[in-house]
Formats: sequence, C-alpha cells, structure tokens
Amino acid sequence: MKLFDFQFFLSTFPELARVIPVTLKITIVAMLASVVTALAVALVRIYRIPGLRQLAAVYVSFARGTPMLVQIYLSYYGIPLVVQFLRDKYGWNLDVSQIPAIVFIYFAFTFNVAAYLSETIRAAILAIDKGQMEASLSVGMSSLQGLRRIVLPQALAVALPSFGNTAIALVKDTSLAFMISVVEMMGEAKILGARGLRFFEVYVAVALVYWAICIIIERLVALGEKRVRRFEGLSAVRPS
Amino acid sequence: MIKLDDIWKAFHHNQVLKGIDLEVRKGEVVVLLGPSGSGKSTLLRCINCLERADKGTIRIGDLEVDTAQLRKPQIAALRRKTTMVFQNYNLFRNKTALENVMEGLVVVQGIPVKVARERSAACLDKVGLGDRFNHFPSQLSGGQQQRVGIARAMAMDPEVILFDEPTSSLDPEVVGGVLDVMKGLARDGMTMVVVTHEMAFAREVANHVAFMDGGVIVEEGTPAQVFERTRELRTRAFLQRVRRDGPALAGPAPAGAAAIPGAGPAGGGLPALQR
Repeated sequence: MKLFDFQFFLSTFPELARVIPVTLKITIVAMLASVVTALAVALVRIYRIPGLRQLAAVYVSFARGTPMLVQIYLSYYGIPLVVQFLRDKYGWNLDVSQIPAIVFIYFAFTFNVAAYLSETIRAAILAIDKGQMEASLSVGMSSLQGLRRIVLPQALAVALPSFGNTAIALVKDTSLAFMISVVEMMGEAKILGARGLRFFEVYVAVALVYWAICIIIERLVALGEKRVRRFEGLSAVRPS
Repeated sequence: MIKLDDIWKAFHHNQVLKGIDLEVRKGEVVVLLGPSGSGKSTLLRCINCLERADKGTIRIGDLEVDTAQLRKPQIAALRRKTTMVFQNYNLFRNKTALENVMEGLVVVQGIPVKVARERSAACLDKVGLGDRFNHFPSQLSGGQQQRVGIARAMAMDPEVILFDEPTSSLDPEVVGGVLDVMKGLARDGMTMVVVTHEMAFAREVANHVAFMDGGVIVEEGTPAQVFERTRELRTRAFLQRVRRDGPALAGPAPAGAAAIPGAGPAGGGLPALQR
C-alpha cells in the first residue's frame, strides 16, 4: 500500500472544486445577512432603545456563548417546529420538509456571525469622534443622514479588518454544514474519502482549498481596506 | 435677529447656564468671553440645539422656539438658520475639502451637484484654499482645516454663524490667517456669535462683547465699555489674568485693578496683539 496516493490526491480536486460554490454561497449569504442584522443590533445598543436593548444584549451573549454546532442543530430542529406551529395556527400552505437544509444553515450562521459583527460595528461606530455627528447636525443633516453619509463610512474603515477575520472564520466554519447533510466541501471530502478509502489525501486536498479561499479573502480585504481608508492617510490626492 | 431669553441648562446637577439673555442684531459680531467652565460654549451649542436648553426661548429671525418643548421640526428649522465652526474643525474626514463644503448644500438644501460645486469652490477660494479642493482633511494643516470649516459654514448661507473657540487648537502662527477670514466675513455683514480668547479680535471686530462667568452674563457692552471702562470686579480679574498670561493687551489698567488680589501689572500700549 502506498504511503500517499498522489494520483488519487490530484483526482479529488475537480470533485472538490465542484462544490466550492456551495461553501461560497453559505459564506456570502451569511456574511451579507449578518452585516445588516449586526448593524441593527449595534444601533439598538448604541442608542439604548428601551426593550430592544436588553433583548440585543441577551442575544449577543447567547450567540457568542454557545457552540456553532449547537446553533446549527437548534436551527435545523427548531425552525421546522416553529414553522409547523405557525402553519397549524394560521393555516399556511407550507410544507416544512420542502425547505432545503441549506436555509437552516443560512439562519444558523447569520445568527452566530451577526452577534460577533454587532460588537465589531458597535466599537467601530463608537470609535468615530462625536464631533463628526455634531458637524453633520450643524449643517442641518438629520442623525440618520449623518450616520449614513459621514459616520458609517468612517466606521467601515475601522471595522473592515475585523470583517475580514470574521469572513475567514466563517469560511472555515461552513465545514460544519455537513452535520445536517448539506454537501459543501467538507461533506464532499468525506464522501470522496469513503469512496476511495483514502481519507488522508482528501483531507490534505480540502485543507489546501480552504487555505486558498482564505488567502484570496485576505487579499480582497486588504484591497478594500486601501480603498475605504484612502481619506485617512498620505495617499495621493484624488483626481477630480 | 437673535434673541435669547432666560436660557437655563444643567448637566446632571451642574447648573451651567442660569438664565441668559442675549440679543444679536443683524450683521453684528458678538463675542462671548469668560473663563473655561463659564458656560459660553454651552450657550453657543444651545442656539443650534447641539445641547438642549432646559428652559428659555430662542428666537432667530422669524422663528421663535420654547426650548422646554422642542420638537424635531423646530430643531431642524433652527439648524437651517445657523451653522457652526468648531474648535476641533470637525471636518468630515471621509470627504475632500470641496465635498465638505458641498455636503450640506446637496444633502440638506437639495441644490444640484453642479451648482453646489461652483458655490463651494467660490467659498474655498474666498478662504484662500483654491488649490486644495481635492485634499482630504488628513492632508491639510490645522489652519487650512479651520478655513475649510469656515467655508463650509458660510456656504450654507445661514442667518448666523456660531464660532466655538475657532482658533484655540491652532498653532500660533496660523491663527492670524483664520482670524483674517473671520474679519472678512464680518466686513461682508455676516452675523456672528464668537466664543474666543482672542482679545485683539474682540476689540477690533466685535460690536458687542459679553463676559460670562458662573453661568450668567456678568457684564456686556461695546468693546470699549467692557475692556476700558470695566465695571465688574470679576470681569476685571479675568482681563487681568488674560493680559498677564497672554501677550499684552490694549489699554491702561482700569482704575482699581491693582487692588484686585493676584492681579499682575497690566500690559501697556495699544493693540499689541498682532499675530
């Protein structure tokens, strides 16, 4: 028996590549939904909106204090129960078993990642000098306009490196999706390993693919950072 | 033009303003003087509702509001009539100099971008920054940033510009440039309320000077009245301190000044404070 079946190792790449879109889809959907959710949670906490504020604090604490895998199971087994209950109560015409498993993955990851991102965003917004908002108000903008046009773009520059780290962690966490039978890269790797009876080769291959994806994200974040931070430093004067 | 009537403001248990009355006529420059903590900045910030006064009425032009029951539309209306120049400039850090000036015109006044750009460029030219349109605040010196701040304030064509210690963060050698811009504005008939420690500016440009201490206006009048014929002991003590610490100020010491404990020798001679 060969120590390392190079032939087999290489043959797994096209198979793995086939399911890269699944991993990316989970990452992108969860990341986008998380940013929106996290911004709302962060604003609730910054503006201390009564009622919602306590709810947000409990949510963040729970989401950060329980394992991702548990949250996936809670989503997978819990959401159908809720949907079923609502269906029985309001007579919806909806078959729970028709919901693809990946939807529960979207929910679980958004739930988890948004909690971390909300803390990032909250810190980033608080890091912006309050004079920026005062200046916005002093020229007659509303708080919302000041937030959207002045404070948030600056907060984004502060938060972007953390966003990158979160996205990278998320890519790696998507490997848990196979636990509820969503065939993403890790799931595909297990299937290939079982089929060829060579696991080590497949896992080396899948590790390299994850690594490559993470390097690409790192690069993209670095590029984005340069763009959103162009106002901060000694960069060249922007052409008009 | 502006009339403040019995303005009160407390932060927690600290009563900062204790019933301020102030009147500013159109085209007038009013300078607020006073030691730190006397409430002058707070008063300024109450005028455009960056701080909400607890009690009192504010009238600007034809708009009169009771600060005890401010509503959002009233705040918005007050802010449309005023703009502010800040001690720390507070330029929008993510916008170029030109965009800083344009922002309010486009977003608040709804002026088409092209028109707003022309008007903003003219304002920047006026403050001597015609060659800095596309610089970000981080690429400008303090004096340049403050001049953009003034351009931003005047572009909105407000009824009054509020200056909150506009030169206090600046290096001494650039203070003069900023004060010159302010003098130009005053000459053009802009109504201004200025919190400053620049005594020479107050003497030269102000129509009216108000000295605040402990949340009240202790003394007010023309610069000549306040600086040369000072009536109140507290004003006199403050002016003495400023003269001793800072460069010599104009005017002979008021009679009796030497009797104030701790008062140093008054600086002699006339406007010595040329920067």
